[in-house]
Amino acid sequence: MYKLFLTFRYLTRRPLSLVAMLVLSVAIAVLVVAPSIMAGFQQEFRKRLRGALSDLSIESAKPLSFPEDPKIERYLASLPGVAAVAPFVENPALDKNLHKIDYCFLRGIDPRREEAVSDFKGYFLSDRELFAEMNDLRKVSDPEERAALEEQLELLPDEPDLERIYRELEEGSDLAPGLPTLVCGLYYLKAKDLQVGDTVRLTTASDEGEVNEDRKFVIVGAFSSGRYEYDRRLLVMSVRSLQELIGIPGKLSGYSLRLVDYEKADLTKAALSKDIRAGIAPLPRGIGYFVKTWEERNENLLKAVRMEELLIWLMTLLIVVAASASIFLVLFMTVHSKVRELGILRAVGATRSGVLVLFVGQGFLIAFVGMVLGLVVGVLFGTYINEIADWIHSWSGWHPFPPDVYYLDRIPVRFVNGDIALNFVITLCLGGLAAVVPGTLAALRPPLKSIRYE
Amino acid sequence: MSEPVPLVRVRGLEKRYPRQRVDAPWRARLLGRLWGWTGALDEWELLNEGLPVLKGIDLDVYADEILAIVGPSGAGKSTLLHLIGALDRPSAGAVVYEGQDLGSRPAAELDRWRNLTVGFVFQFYHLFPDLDALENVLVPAQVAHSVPSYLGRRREFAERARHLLERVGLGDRAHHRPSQLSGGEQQRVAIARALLLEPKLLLCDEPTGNLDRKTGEHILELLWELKASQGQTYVIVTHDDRLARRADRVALLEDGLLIDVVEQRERDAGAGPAPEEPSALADEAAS
Ligand SMILES: Nc1ncnc2c1ncn2[C@@H]1O[C@H](COP(=O)(O)OP(=O)(O)OP(=O)(O)O)[C@@H](O)[C@H]1O
Ligand SMILES: [Mg+2]
Repeated sequence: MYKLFLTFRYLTRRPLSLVAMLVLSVAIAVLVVAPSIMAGFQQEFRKRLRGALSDLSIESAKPLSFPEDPKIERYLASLPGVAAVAPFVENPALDKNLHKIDYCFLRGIDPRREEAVSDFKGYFLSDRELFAEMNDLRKVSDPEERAALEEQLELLPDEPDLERIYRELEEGSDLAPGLPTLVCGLYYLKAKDLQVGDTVRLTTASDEGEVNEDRKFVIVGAFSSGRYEYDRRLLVMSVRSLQELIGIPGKLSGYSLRLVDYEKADLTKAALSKDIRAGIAPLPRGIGYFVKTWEERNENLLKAVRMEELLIWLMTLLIVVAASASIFLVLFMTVHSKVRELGILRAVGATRSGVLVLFVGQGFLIAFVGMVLGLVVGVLFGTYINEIADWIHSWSGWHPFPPDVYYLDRIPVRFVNGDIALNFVITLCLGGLAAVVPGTLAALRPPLKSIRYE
Repeated sequence: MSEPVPLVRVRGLEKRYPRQRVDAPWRARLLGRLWGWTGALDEWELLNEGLPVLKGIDLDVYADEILAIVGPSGAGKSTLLHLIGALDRPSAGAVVYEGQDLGSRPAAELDRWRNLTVGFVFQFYHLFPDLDALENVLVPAQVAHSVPSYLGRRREFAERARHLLERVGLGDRAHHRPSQLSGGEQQRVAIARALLLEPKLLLCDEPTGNLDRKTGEHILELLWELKASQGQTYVIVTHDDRLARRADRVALLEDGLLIDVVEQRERDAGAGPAPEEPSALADEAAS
């Protein structure tokens, strides 16, 4: 009985033990939330990094000399694990606008076939999204003007007119008949203060050193991929327009492949490489080819990401260690501070094992309640973190998570159950140790030691 | 009429405490540092050579008497008391309670015996700081009973605890915590706690040692009064001459040896406070 009662009294009469519990729960909540946000960010980051890259691509080692040939396409499509094939051309360019020279990357695609190999289609902005982005309603302070803008916004279509964009990419725009067309990123528009329908001047050069100066293009659409580099510098046009611009009819950079199962990319890659080496593939010899997965194409960046992952992991580890240490300390202190009472209990007849159970039980109870509380708070906080951020924003006007800084409009949270469980087990073990060690040492102590002296 | 049977028989009791050997090998010292304080190594000869504190004590404690143990500081009085209450194990010799050698009984049984038949009162009160007076008094009952059996009799225990608190004059302080009580009041709570389960044997270690004269006298008065009404056996270690003078017998302990046992009162004569000369008390206080 005394175990129950003393534990109860200890918890109710000592605010410190409740404080200890709270400290524990805060530590645990941090343990749950921090890695989840990290994991969420990372997932988001990889997704963006990938952007519109296809699973696999084959390119000629010498740029822009891959023949455009239906036979090759058929061959590639027949490889094991390949779901779709589409051509692409890539070349850098200079663009002159407002008398400033800037560089950009041109990418030629077959818009309709591209749908089958990449997610580029999903990046096109609807007129409404574009209007909202370009006019930035949040910054309009005059309520009348704002209302007018919002009204205008409501009238615009919510879905991008893909059919029109594709047609205009392939056949040219009615706005400026005869001119080649392209689509560009949102930040390109913003940086150059352009609108859809405006023209840009591009200068590029072929591999032979032939310079094609100041060709005019009409912007027929805009996209937003979430990766700044793309949205600022990538200009997408049809394969045909780009071939004409560079002056390489019938030549490509290579083909994009979509795989049935990206996990098995190595198989397709190996089959392709083998065919090329054996000369079975219907590819012209003497050029040399690169076959790369999207990750290999982004190798440098992914290396940086991996470095970052390691750092994040180390940071999370530090958080775990700090939280565990605080748990250890708090429990150790609470149990240790009770050692003197143990002698009295023994003097009134409590057994050694009973005292041990009492002490360790108290520690465990504090640890357990604190941890469950922390887990609940952590999961709730993680789940509703965006609502909390919004609430703080609407209440104080201060944005804890400014979307324009992180380039994400929501805080990504991903609960990796395994990691959380691991952290939990580590802290539980440390907490248990913290409760057991002082308790056991105290129980081993002869009762006299704590009785004899004041 | 036959000779009365002693309640507790102490025979050839010796206690040696460790004295750290200066010549101990370093590993022994290291282990001693790490573990020594737990008491686990007290008998380890490599580290400790015995420091005799009790050097063979023979003493009988009779039922229904008040036995005072007096002696200079460091004589081993507290040690003897703790050995009688089985809070510690003797190095040699035996404590026999009602014909049973305590040393031969398992630890758990000793704990139970201590719970039910022994009440301890310490010089430093040793109350639980988180419990109020009433709850402190109730602790022995909570130790003695499991949850259901305690809850079943909780009214009865609370009643008794309240009664005891009233007996020691703290009826109105039942819900004060030790930090809100004076030293004398704390000692009275400790006495009430020791008496809760109506133990046969009360072991008091300088119950008045930390109190001023007047408060000490109150405590003494209280002890005798309780003794008179409940008829328990008291072993009281004390430096207090007044207390010693009123005991049935006084055992004089010096340097671990029992020097003398003085019978001050006819056994079975009924215990009551001895009539004291007030002037003698005053003289003593002055000296
Ligand atoms: N754990 C221990 N280790 C070593 N020596 C000890 C230990 N406990 C007590 N002693 C020694 O035993 C001797 C007797 O101690 P004890 O407390 O029994 O004396 P006492 O007669 O009660 O003295 P006092 O009147 O001052 O309370 C003392 O010399 C003390 O130093
Ligand atoms: Mg003493």
